[in-house]
Amino acid sequence: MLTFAEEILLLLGDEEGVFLPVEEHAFECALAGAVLMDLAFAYRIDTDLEKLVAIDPAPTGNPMLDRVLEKIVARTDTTDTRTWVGVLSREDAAVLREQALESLAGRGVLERRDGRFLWAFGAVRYPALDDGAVRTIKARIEDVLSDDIPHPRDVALISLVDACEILPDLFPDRDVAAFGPRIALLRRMDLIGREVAGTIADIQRTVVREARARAARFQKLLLVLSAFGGLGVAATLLSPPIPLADRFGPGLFESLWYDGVWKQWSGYLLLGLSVAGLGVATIVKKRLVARIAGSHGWRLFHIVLGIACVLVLFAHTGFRFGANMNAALMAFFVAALLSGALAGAAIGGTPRLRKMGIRKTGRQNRLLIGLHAVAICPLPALLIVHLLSVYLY
Amino acid sequence: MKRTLLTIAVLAFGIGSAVAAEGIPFRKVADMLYQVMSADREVYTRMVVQRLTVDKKVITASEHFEDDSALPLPAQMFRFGAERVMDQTEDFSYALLSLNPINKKNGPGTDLERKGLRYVLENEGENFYGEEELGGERYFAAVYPDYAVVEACINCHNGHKDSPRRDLKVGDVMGGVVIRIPME
Amino acid sequence: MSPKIVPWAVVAATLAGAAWFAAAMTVGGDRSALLIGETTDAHHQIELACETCHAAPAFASAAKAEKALNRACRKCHDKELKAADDSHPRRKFRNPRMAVYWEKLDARLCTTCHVEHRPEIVRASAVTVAMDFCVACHSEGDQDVRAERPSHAGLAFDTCASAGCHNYHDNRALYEEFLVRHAGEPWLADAPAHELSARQRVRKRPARAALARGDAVAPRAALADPAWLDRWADSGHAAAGVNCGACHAPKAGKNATRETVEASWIEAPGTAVCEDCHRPQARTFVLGRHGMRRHPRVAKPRDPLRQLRKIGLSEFVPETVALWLADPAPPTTMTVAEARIPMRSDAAHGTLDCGTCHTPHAVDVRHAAAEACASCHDDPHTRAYFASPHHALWRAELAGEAPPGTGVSCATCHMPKTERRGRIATDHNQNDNLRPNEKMIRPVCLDCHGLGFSLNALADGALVERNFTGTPAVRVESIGWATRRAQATKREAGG
Repeated sequence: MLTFAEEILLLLGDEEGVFLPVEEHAFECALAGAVLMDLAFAYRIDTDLEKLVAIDPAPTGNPMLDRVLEKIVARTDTTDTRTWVGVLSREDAAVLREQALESLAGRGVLERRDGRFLWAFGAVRYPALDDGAVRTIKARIEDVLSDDIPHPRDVALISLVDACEILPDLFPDRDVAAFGPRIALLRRMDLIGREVAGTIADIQRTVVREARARAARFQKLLLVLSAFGGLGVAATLLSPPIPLADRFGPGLFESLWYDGVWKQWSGYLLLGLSVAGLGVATIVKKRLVARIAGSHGWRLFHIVLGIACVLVLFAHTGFRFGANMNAALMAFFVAALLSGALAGAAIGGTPRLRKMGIRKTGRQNRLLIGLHAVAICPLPALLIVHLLSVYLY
Repeated sequence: MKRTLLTIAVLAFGIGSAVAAEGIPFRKVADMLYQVMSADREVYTRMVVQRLTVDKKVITASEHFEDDSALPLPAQMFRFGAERVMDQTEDFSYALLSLNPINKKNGPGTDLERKGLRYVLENEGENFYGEEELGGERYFAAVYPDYAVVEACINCHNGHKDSPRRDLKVGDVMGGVVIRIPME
Repeated sequence: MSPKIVPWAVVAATLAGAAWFAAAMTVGGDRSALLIGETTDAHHQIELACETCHAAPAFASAAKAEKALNRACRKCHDKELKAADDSHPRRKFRNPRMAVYWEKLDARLCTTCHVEHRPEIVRASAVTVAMDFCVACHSEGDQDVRAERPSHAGLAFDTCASAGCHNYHDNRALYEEFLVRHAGEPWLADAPAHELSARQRVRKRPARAALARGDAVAPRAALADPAWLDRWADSGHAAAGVNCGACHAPKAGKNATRETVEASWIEAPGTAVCEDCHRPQARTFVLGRHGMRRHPRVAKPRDPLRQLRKIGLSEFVPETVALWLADPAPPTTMTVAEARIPMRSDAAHGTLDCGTCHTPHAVDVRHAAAEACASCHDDPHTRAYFASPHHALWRAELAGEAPPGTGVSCATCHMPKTERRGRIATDHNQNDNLRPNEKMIRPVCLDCHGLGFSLNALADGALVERNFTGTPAVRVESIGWATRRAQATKREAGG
């Protein structure tokens, strides 16, 4: 029998061994929840409102589960389910993922394939050897979501899949919204009817809560960083050029804006930051790291690069747009930064917008990211002209 | 007049580059340049300025020779030559300096100049040689004493409103000629 | 259009744009989009003849490019700096003993203080460093002016050049001895007149016989309009024996007949015909803003075929494409609309060549000296002229009520007469003495006015704007300070 973690990973993989773009925090929490649920079904742990305790320290025979069990047994202070979902999702998600994938590879369900991309990016992929296993799991979920009397393990699996919010991706041709009442019903019906029922329900609730809380924290950070970048862009757009002191003498600004050497440093730094930003975006978009999780850090890094661009742009131009071709380069660059900041803010601000009653934000977000991409398109050409004009004249 | 200046400069430049190419020591090159400069300088002072302004009194020599339709002063003549050379080459440079200049900008500007001017003032008949670094480049520098050869020199220097020294006599060392040759 | 095509279309369009720009940079084509910022006044007229200044080969090192740039400055401006007896000539600072000053303000390079295409830092006289730049070298050591001149102890460095006392380049009318020599002069001379103007106006005309209406030799059709003929007969040209053919059929030669004139008749002769006789005027015209587009140093349009050979692409680009890439033909004259000072809107389309001021058939230098200027210029100084005392004098001279040379037209000050090897000619470089305005003192003002009055008047911006209607409200202290210092040293020497 596959563990929950293995089942989730199978569900998330596609034929190429590339994983569905799943919300990172939700996935990590679901993985933690999956292991806890397996341990609960194996009667190794039990929960009540205040604590999660190991009731049987005997190994289950599954290395992934036993590792976590040991960890729980080893911990002496009182800890509740939330703490364990938090700890496991933060500290162990990556290991759990590798263990589950290796186990699937060991069973001959997946194949481990090492790939290298551009030297730097190691891409280990796990394409399915036969998709029978996946189809079986999907069928189980579909059956339960239809009308069948559910098996307790299926209810647990559905709760995890739901926590990851990947139902629409698993059943692209079904109206997933229609499953809503059924899932809610499953959750309410005490169909499990076993001793572990309370524990499973507790874990499931905790996974959802923890995933939401962590996603909210991430979105807040995204919003703050984007707003910071956006303010910088607004200053670039609205602030008058910084005037120079009407006093003779070497000043920092004079050097920055009127000394060829400084200009070249700031210019090439800007170029480097922009290329890095583009590279990070490509990594996230194309999932070159071939990992389910781990893109949130890259996303934040992308925004930090954007903010650095705004700052270095100030060092390069002092809010001066220049004229003609230089002004065009500046306009497109600022447009790229602005649309990026707005997209970041919009994505980070989605929960707030929802609270304000604005629900359908996906379209706008995609539009902003599209604008971001379009504004970037002319930059290489304009930059070549900019550089040539500097060195030819 | 212009032609004379040009001749001096061209002649001096010619010597400078030719001998440097054949590996003659810097000191020798500087000495030879100085010979040309000082000979022309003395000729102008004696045969033009002294003769026409003091002896024959047919024309005056004036700092503002253009406005006054007068002869350029010997020191100006020398400086124009030095500037003319600067228009044409960076292979060598020279200047007429003094510890008591009428125009402050002709005072010593570097440590070597200060040392050299004092040396030629205190050691009669001797030249001063040295090396120094200016603007990131190393130079061989030579300082030669510059004498008040005729009355015209001291008349002006003792009477000028900006002159810091007014007790000069003919034959006194008034300052020095500094010649520099880049060593690379 | 599917969303996937959009970015590709943008990429394709921008790559095409980049290719076009690259071609404009390396082969030929309009380069106005490459200008990184507004060019300074005057230079803006030739800003698309990039090679005039950017003379270094492509990808030359920064040092080489800077050198070439500065050499280009000197090629056009060296003569005027020499004439101005430049107080800070490059050659003075090239001597390595001045190395200590290179760090402070490198006076060996024009571009230290005059950077192009940076409108936001351009100050008066196209200076691009803060106007207190004198502080760089004259605030310490032997060159500390405050220590050297007690009268200067409390002065700020931004007043050196703005108070009417010093200029960086041209101090011909400002140096100490000059001030002392001209101290105590009355504001107006006893018999104020411009000597050269006076001499020129009463000079003997060439011995050639003046021509009358009946002497005109031209094709019959050209003689049909009596108005033109009348104007010519009244003109200086007729008085100087210049017949129709001289301008309209220069090929016909001196002893032209109606037949030969008719054979090579040109309906609208170009300015080359004028330049043939009026050489000093033509030579100086291209030095000023009115005619600088025709200055011989302005780079000619690039030959696209040669450019292609230079970058080794001539074999790959068909000649027709190359010729299509040619530089746009540069305008040979300046239009009024391109001027950056206030101009009459009804003159916007006017261009500037000889005929603009000198109507060819009625060559009347009196018109060209004042009214012609005001037909385009529309600034307060110009407008105020016609109610100014200078204009009253000019009217009196024209009316024969005052002696020659006593009238003051626009040209009297802005295009003064100059004498060169005994020949008096009008300087057609109207910028020659314009900025800084102290340049005007010696060739113009001192003819009639005392130095002290001239300094005060020129330092009073409002008075300049009123075209010297009134008395100076500004008092330049320099003459007083200079005379006091001269007297003090004299006393010292005497005592």
